[in-house]
Amino acid sequence: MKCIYDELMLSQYIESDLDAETMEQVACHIKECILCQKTMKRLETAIKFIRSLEESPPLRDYVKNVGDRHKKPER
Amino acid sequence: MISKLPDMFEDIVSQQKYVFNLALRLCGNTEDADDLTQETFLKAIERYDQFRGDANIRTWLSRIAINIFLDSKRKERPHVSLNLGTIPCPAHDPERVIIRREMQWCVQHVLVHHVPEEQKIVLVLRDIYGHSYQEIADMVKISLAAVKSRLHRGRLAFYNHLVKSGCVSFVKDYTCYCEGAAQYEVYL
Repeated sequence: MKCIYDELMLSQYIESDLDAETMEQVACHIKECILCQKTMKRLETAIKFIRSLEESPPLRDYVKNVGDRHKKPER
Repeated sequence: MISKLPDMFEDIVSQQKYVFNLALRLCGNTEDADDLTQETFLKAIERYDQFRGDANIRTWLSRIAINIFLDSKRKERPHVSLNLGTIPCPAHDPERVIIRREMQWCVQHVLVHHVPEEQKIVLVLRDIYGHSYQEIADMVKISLAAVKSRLHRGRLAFYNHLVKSGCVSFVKDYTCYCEGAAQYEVYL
């Protein structure tokens, strides 16, 4: 079964990327629609997991050697 | 124009961690990320006179990195290696380090290998680095509508594969997993 509501709206709703009136309409719809509630949970979980990725330090100085060649251009 | 590089130099240098991590998310392994980062800075410094200043330096470097990445994908051979590099764990608890490493591996693996390329790029730029829709549209050279659509489909693809791969149940089993990961729920 699929909700006739535009799913893309849910991603935009999460990001508050809708006008105030539409935000309210979507919020009301989500309260009533189990399918959209599930989709919302999936989207939120995906975002949380993706954001959980940690940064690594760069392996080396990528600019130094290249930069030294360019820093003082020959005239 | 030649005199612009010394002015920009510090700005470029300061983006090394950002570019390396962007490359790591796109490539999925440190070896390719290392190559992509180096090539990005080589191109950036060769072409610094093309930097117009209407975008910020991070957006400009991202655009270069994404173009190189997409070019390399067109010529690519199948690749399965996955190396996350160093994962810091402030707790210094060996068990947590292992759990965290496995979890990070899993998330990175799903992102790199199970989300379509065009969606993955948008997902990384938005959900990890918080670039605006407009910045992403400029970097990837697609419309705003396409950014939103790829982002939505990418998030759902990521979730579906994460569930398929068992990573979500993996997290549920380790209920003591640090940083609140155990609160994630499965919605099948």
